[in-house]
This record gives sequence, structure tokens and C-alpha cells, in this order.
Amino acid sequence: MDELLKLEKVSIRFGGLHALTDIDLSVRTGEILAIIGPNGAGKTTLFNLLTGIYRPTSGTITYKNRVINKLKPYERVKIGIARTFQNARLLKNMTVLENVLVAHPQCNTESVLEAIFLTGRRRERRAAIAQECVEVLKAVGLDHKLDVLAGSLPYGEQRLLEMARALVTRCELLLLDEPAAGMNPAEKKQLVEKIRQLSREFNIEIVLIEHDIGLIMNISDRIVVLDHGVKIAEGSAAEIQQNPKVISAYLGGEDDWD
Amino acid sequence: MRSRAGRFAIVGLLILLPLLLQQIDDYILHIAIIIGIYAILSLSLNVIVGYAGQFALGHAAFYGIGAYTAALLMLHGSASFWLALAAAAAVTGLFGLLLGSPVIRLRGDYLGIVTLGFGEIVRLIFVNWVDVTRGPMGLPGIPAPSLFGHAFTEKIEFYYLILALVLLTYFIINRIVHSGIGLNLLTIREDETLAQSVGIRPNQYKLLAFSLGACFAGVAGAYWAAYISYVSPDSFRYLDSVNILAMVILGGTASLPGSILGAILLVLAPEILRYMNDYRMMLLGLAIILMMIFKPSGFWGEKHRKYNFYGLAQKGGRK
Repeated sequence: MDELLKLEKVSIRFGGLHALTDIDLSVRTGEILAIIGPNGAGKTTLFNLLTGIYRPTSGTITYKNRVINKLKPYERVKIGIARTFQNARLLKNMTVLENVLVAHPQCNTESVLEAIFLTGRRRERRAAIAQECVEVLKAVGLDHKLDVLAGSLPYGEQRLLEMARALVTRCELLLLDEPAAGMNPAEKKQLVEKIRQLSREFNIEIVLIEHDIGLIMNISDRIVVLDHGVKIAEGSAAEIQQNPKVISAYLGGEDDWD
Repeated sequence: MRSRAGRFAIVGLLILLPLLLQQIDDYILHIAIIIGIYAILSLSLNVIVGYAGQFALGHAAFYGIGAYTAALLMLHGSASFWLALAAAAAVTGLFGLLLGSPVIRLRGDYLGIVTLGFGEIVRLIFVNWVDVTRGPMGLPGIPAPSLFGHAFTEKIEFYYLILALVLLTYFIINRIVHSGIGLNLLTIREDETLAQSVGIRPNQYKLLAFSLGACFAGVAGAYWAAYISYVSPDSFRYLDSVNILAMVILGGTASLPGSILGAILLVLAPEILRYMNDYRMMLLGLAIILMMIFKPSGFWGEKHRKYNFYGLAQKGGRK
């Protein structure tokens, strides 16, 4: 299987704190990979490494056979890595459509002259850009709320809007940071289906961090377990459930997976 | 939503205003011209403060650099006003870039302090570089602009000139803030991490905002030099920077009509309150404090912002 993203012996230290140590990881094409682990295991740190907010202290991150250790966040977006945040980060005083427009590569690279001399061709281009954004919003099911301020959306829809924003960057790898946090069971069920559907429809690989074990078991093709900055297990849902290391690290010895 | 017709009506009114008021006196025209200058200044500062969210306190420095550039070019280079105007815009734009590059790495208070320092340094250069600026004595005798061989002498001619410059400034800044660039600036203002994570380079756009804002402040400076025909360091003090900032905030950040409203209010208020002598500045200060408490988003704040930059959502959303 092809490896889209590959981490080799990646470590990061903050002063004396070893946040992540020698992580080996790969994301293969066509799969949904979940990263789980107890609080403070280094999941979000790992995400920040993948999106370029942090740089690894040692090790290499390879994306499409290219080492991307030093690429800045905006450069990683250009090569196809997009993300959502743990607590929906939206432009709360702007409309749903604007929140998506801002991520569109042709909207946020408009030049000054193009903006001043607004030619007919540019106007048409803008209409097309907005239309593309509407299409993506349709895919996540928010196209009936284009003019609503993002801050006034219910929480579940804010998460969907974040996903739409990430998708419009035309990413190939989508990183979801706790997409189901704060959702009720019904919303979670919908979310799982939505993620599967988007993964197929846009042909993207998805890496997600999640706390909800039920959701993880349901959605992911493969699971990586972190604890105290070290990868302790990797495998399918069934394998992870059986792994004694995971059980002791994650659950403190108790077995309540369902 | 304000219609196109409404906009034409306002512009038409402004063009005809002096003719309607037959016995217009020079004092009123002078006030109108000053409002125009400050409208350009507050519009340009709004790009930096309102849209990019960079709390800059040294806008009068750009205004001054524009004025001195134009004055020196017209006096020693015997350049025409129009050439000096363009040069002043370019030079101040460059200074915006120069100030911007170190400053964009700072945030909030620190940025305020550095820009304030910049404003003071520039003023001190005007005062102390006597060989070029003649120091506190200033540069007198700047020639008036001329168009097709006709030199501007009447106040009314200057009124139309500043009206044209304000309209041009408004047009260009309006187009820019309602494009993808404006959207990027607002995103950076709200959340830089988020901006980066959708592919925006925050520093590039902050620099753009600084040089754009500086550029138009330079235009205002060049006009001022030609209008008063004299420049001195006294016109570009810290107090002037604060005054421009107050216009932006009072009118409403990230709102262009707000900036113009702010300029009108803060130029008119001291004139109207003139009969109160010493109390007028106190009253003005009080008004600004009350404003901050009761209406922090300004008189014409972002609430009035035209949603959806491309104006298409309404069609799509209300099928």
C-alpha cells in the first residue's frame, strides 16, 4: 500500500519535557487512521507537528516522498494537508460562506491589482469560487445556512463548517482533532457517516484524534495508541481491544470497551 | 443595504455643495477640506487597525513623511504637484513596509509602543535634520498645484481636489477590503493560527496593510503640504496620531463609512465647541470615554458590514 505520510523516529522536546519520543507512523492511501490515548499522551502535539505549528526536535516527516519537517503551516496547506481544531475555531462574526471562502486557495491569493481593477473576468471567477464553496457546503449539509453567522450555529454544525473549510483547500490529507467533542450520541452517529462519506466523495485520507472509543471503533481502519509520548500499539480495532498494554495504559486495567 | 443610487446621490451632493451654499465662506470650505484630509487618514489607518487588527499609534509619521517628501520635491526638485503626490505615496508606502517588517512580529501593546516610538523618531528627524527640513522653522513657500496650466488659488478648487482624492482613496480601499485580501486580513485579525491553517501567510498580509495604509497617509500629507503651502514638524505630533486613531475607533473599526463619519465628527466637534474655550477638549475626551463604554463598536461599526464579499450567498441561500 502507498504511504501518503510517514513519520520516522519523530521526537519533540519542550525544554526537559519529552512530549513525543521516536514516533513511527504512516498514513496509507484510502484509509481512516485514528490516534487515541489518555489525556496528555501527546495526540494534539502530534497534530501540531503534522500541521507545522511545531517542528520536530529529531526525526523526519515525509509527505508524498518529500521531507516536510520545516514547512510552515500555510505551506503545508498548499501541498494538501488541512486540519480542524479541537474546539471549533471559526470566524464567529462572519457568515458561513465567508468562513469557507477564506480557505479557498483562489480567494485568499487574490492580488491587489485584481482587487482594485475588478474586471468582468475577475467577477466571473469570484462567482465560480463562491459556487465551489457552496458545493462543498452542500456536501457537509450546510448549504441552507450560507448567510448565517458562524458563531450562531449549533455546535455540531460548527464542526461541520470547520470540515467544509478544510475541504475547500483541496486537501488530500485531513486531520480532525476530536471532531465529536461535545456532541450528543445522535450527532456522533451522523458525524461518523459524514466523515466516511466525505472521505469517499473527496477521495481524501483522514487522520483523527478522538476520545469516544465507540466512534473510533466504528470509523477507523487502523488505530494508533499513544501514551506518555510513546506509541504503544498499532492495529485494527479488534487488535487494539485485545492489546494488554493498551488496556492498562488507557483504562487503568479495567475493561469497559463497549 | 445602501444602493448604488444612494452613493451617487452623496457624491453628487458633495460636488454641488459649494454651489448650493451661494455665500459660502472660506472658513466653512477650510473645515470641509480638513475633514477631507482626515477622512483619507482615518480610512488608511482603518486598513491597519480595523482590518489587519494592528494597533498602530504612529500614523501621523506617515502623514508627515508624505508632506515633507512632497514639499521637498516641489521646492528643490521643482516637481509638479501631481508627480510629488505620486512620489509621496510611494515613499510613505515604502516606509510602511520598513516599519512593518520588524513590527508585525509584535502583538498588542508592544506593537503600540514601537509604532509610537516610530512616530516620535520621525518627528524628531523633522525637527533636527535642519539642513534638509529647516527644523522647527519648517518649509514655507510650497507652490500650489496646477492643472493644465491653471494654478489652484481659490479654496473651492482645493475643495474639489480633496474631494477627488477622498473618493479615489475610498474607491481603492473599498475594493481591496471587499476582496479576498480583506477577508484574509479579517481572518488574521481574528485568529492568526487559524489563518495559517487555511493557507494564509499572516506576515505578508500585515505588511500589505501597513504599506497600503502608509501610502494613503502619504497622499494626505502631500495634499496638506500643497494646501497650506508650508510644512513644519508641529503638524505631525503624537497627538495627531491619537486623533486619527480616535476617528477610526469612534466611527467604527473595519468600516469605511465609519472612518469618514469619525473624521467628520472629530474635526467638527472642536470647531462647534469653540465657544467653550478651555472646556472643549475636556468635553471631547469625556465623549470618547462614554462612547467606549456604551458603544464600543463605534457609530458605524462592523454590524453594518456588507456580508459575503462576493455577494452571491443571498441568491444561493434564499432559494
